[in-house]
Amino acid sequence: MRCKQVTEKLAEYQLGALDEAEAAAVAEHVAQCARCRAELAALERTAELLEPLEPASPPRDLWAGVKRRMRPRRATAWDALAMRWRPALAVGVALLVLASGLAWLALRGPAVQPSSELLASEYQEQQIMAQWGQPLADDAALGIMFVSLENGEGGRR
Amino acid sequence: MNNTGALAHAVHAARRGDERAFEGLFRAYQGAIYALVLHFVGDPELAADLTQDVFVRAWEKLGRLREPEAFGGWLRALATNIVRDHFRTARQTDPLDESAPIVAETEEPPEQAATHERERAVRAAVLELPEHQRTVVVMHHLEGKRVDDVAAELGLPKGTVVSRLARGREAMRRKLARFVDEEG
Amino acid sequence: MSGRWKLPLAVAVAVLVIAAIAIGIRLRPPRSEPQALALMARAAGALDEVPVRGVVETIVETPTGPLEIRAEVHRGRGRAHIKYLSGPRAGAEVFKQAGQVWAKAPDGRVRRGGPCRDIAWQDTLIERNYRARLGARGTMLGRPVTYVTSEGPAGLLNLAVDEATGFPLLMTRRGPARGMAMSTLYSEVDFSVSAPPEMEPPAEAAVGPLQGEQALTPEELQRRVGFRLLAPTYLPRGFQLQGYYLRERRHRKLAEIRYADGLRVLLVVETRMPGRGPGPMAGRGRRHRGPMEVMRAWQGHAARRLVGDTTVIVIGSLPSKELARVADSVRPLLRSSL
Repeated sequence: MRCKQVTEKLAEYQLGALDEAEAAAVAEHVAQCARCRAELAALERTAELLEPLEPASPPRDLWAGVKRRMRPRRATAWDALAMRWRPALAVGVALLVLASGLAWLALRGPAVQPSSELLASEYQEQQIMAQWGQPLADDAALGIMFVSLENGEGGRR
Repeated sequence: MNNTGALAHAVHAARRGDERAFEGLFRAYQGAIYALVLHFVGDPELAADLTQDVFVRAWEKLGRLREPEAFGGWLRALATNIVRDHFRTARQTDPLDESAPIVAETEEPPEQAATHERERAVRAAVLELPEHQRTVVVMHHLEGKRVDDVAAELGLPKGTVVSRLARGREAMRRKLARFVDEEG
Repeated sequence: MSGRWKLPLAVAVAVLVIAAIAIGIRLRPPRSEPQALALMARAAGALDEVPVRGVVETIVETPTGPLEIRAEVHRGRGRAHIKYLSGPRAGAEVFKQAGQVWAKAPDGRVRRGGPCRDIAWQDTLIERNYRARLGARGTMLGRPVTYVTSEGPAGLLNLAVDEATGFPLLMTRRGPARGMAMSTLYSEVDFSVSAPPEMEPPAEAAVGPLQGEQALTPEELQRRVGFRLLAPTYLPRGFQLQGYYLRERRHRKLAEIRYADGLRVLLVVETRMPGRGPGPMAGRGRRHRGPMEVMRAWQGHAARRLVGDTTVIVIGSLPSKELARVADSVRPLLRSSL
């Protein structure tokens, strides 16, 4: 390896993040090259200069001061926008997925055809019910998925 | 151990305006943030004020946090930004002198002066790093967290943390050349 | 034995032995701590049995982003009543009792869920596929809890188990990329209550005879659905057969072959749907199979293809490539056809 390549990798080498082959190559070069050796030493000294913090506690309770300055928080405009346009976003995403799926299909070949549709609710329900029967099932989470399914069977007044 | 589930919940709740949840986050992080800010500014009262600023700004900007699990790293980045802004606007001739004891130059023994000078330079170098590198340098070197723990807390792959650390170290090595290069 | 064969034979034996050791090492399951497993089993039981009233904050990953909701919960003795307080379905209620589930929408409409047989804690599956470890102790809602995590290539389950009751006050599931799949945290809890009363399911929620409740033999299932059952020959790592089930829809019968790995399910659903003809790629597939379609599901994906006259759908919280591979591997299950 040449000096220029090695200097770029010295910091990672120092952190032990190179794979075996690369680390061995760097080590070998450093053993023979005074300049890179000095560079590595400089990096080590840099790391040593960074001394750990001393633990410290605030001199007084800071919460009151923070709370006083906190203005009431609502969902930001972006969140609100996202909520209102979520169906449109979902359609947009689905179309995008469909478009990219077709593009991918054209490029990759016919092996798998990604579809934009979400699985029909009856199969979703099957998956939810099967998951619900497992140990440590999260009832609240599965329940909200369950009530969110469209066109439920047996959904009658 | 693994509190990230509870953390994610607290962040989600705080984003919805739950002040009690945010207070929980405050109590969990105020020590770490205060220690970090104090390290840079040196003065406990100033550090306390800036720490409050950090959390007030965190509350305001919570909506911009995309990964609730990365709250810890995001908060530290906020804190170092606030510290850096403070120095920029403080209009001191040598801003990082805040931490130096108010002692006439002649009274300060040369070794101490050199040490202070070096410490100031190191702190300045850290603050001048780009935010991504600064956060991991702070968490790994200043707070002493292992690379794996930094990666877990930031929700990043280990390789990304390592490469940011490497770039950060290289940048600092250049800024601190006069302290780390061998003489002669 | 003539001398000329000795060396090659010795080499062959050595290679086989080394290969066997290598395979054995590769297949050796990650070790779970026995105490962690015991704590998870305790939590599973407590989740069903312990009477509790509380408020939960739940986050669920959906195709359009995370959904955060808050709900009131009253559960115990195998019964659970959940009322959603926030989010798009505020006012909806879900009831679970004796392996049956039904829901009531805010406008009063009842949605029938059907049977979800509670599967007893399966130590062997969790132990085989997920490494369970005890975490630190902490406090939640002023109560001492112990964290326990089960981690595997398929994902992670993180519990905060209340030391007094064994009840999980926090339950978080993450997928393989460590994205959150679902998480529920109790923000208020009261263990001094009694279990919810036994509920009378509304008439619309009656599930009818408990078909699909019982696992059938493959022969019985094939007879009941009236078409030749197919089964996968490839399964993602860790999944084991749980049973064969019949599901009836209005005009169709479905065969469901259910697999689980301790934390997730994989369903292979088969049905005769002659109306859904072969897609535009028909005829180009191998072995007269239809094209493979992959869809998003609420949690995970589904892969669907037509095999002869049978539509096969593989559903699971798994990458779509895995599901496609499972769907691709289906072959007739039984030697004799109808």
